[in-house]
Amino acid sequence: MKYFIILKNATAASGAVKLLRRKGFRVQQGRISDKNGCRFGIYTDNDTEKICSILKTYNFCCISVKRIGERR
Amino acid sequence: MIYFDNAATTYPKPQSVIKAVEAALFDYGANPGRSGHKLSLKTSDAVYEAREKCAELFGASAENTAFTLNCTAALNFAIKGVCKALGGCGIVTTDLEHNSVIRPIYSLSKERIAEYVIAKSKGSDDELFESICSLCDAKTGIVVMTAGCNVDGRITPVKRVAEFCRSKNICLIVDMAQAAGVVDLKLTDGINIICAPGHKGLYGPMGTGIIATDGKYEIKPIIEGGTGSMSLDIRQPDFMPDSLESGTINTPSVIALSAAVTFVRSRGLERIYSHENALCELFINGVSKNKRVKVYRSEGLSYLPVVSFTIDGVTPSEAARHFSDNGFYLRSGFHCNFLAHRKLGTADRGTVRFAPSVFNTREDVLKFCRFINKNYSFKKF
Repeated sequence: MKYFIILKNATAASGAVKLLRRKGFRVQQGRISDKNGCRFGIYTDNDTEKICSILKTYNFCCISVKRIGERR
Repeated sequence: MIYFDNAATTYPKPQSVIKAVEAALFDYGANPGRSGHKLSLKTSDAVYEAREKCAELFGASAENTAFTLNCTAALNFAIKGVCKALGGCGIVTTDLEHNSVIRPIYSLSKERIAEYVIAKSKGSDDELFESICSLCDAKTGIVVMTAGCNVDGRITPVKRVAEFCRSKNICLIVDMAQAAGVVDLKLTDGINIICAPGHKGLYGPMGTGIIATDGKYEIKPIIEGGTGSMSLDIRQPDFMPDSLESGTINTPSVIALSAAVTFVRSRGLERIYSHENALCELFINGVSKNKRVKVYRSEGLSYLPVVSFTIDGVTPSEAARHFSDNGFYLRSGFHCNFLAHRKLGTADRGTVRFAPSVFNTREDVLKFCRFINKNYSFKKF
């Protein structure tokens, strides 16, 4: 998958994946480590702006989006 | 064996809960919220499902619901955490409270972080409500109260107090140690923080507690450590549930708690209350003609399915030992609540506590009543 959307924590990542799958998005939960430490979030190929906008309406805060290339 | 000590912890646990513990140990063995491999993420999802179910039960969001070791830990987090976040404050509580409420409050007062006053529960619900309201002043930041006393089962007017606290901008923390799984109270009733055990009325395993907040009041952590988030920051995360979940949670029990909540919801809180309350009534009626038995209940008040009683001429601990020797398991003593015993006038010896569960039957209760009436009808001197 091309993008990793960083969320607040593992709880948010589980909740976001559940919500987005229910809405038909292909997403996968994941964890990365960067200069800010360990981050939980979701991998996706979909439109990240749209996803973040949906998550925002459900009180999930998208901290940032990372492009990860064709790593999978 | 007939078990009537369900106010301490419910037993037996539902088969679905027992199976869930086993399944959790087999299928969800990785640490949730710590790693990125599939087993850890799968475990995180199972924990999230449990979180969602518990949150829903108390009208909270999953993100604002944290798992703790037990209800005592949840109450410590809530009371100390909110008080410290407010920079110290006045606390109003009641004379029905368990030591897990009064001891953290006392500890805060010894540290000069809080001053506290205790509302008297003598009389009607109106009087208790008035007593709480009259003790609240400009310094009051928190009201902490039980939804139902663990000694005599008295139900308190939480919803009215919630309305009052909201109007005065006071944080209301409710101890649902005995009420969870029996009484339908939610944050949407105006409560700011609910603390509950997983192993009593929710029928989960021991070692589980829940703190659910509406997010209006900051809860400063009193335990810091690894949370799986903000790992390069020396500061504890300030967001729920991470702020209150340092270290690995009791994952197998939390996953089983999910099955337990499903069990409770499928039975229905009203049905559970109705069944257990009917057993309490049966017990009270069954011993009502026995002049040696004193039941600690008052007219005009509502009670949780918990009955405290004493038997004239025998101490509660002797009675409980005799019951145990004959296959009836009840708790005697002070039930970790000296305030309620002072109020009931039982602070010298305590009481025996009869607390049925959904698994007890009318026959269990009748058998117990027959035993008491046969063995304790005449005073032995």
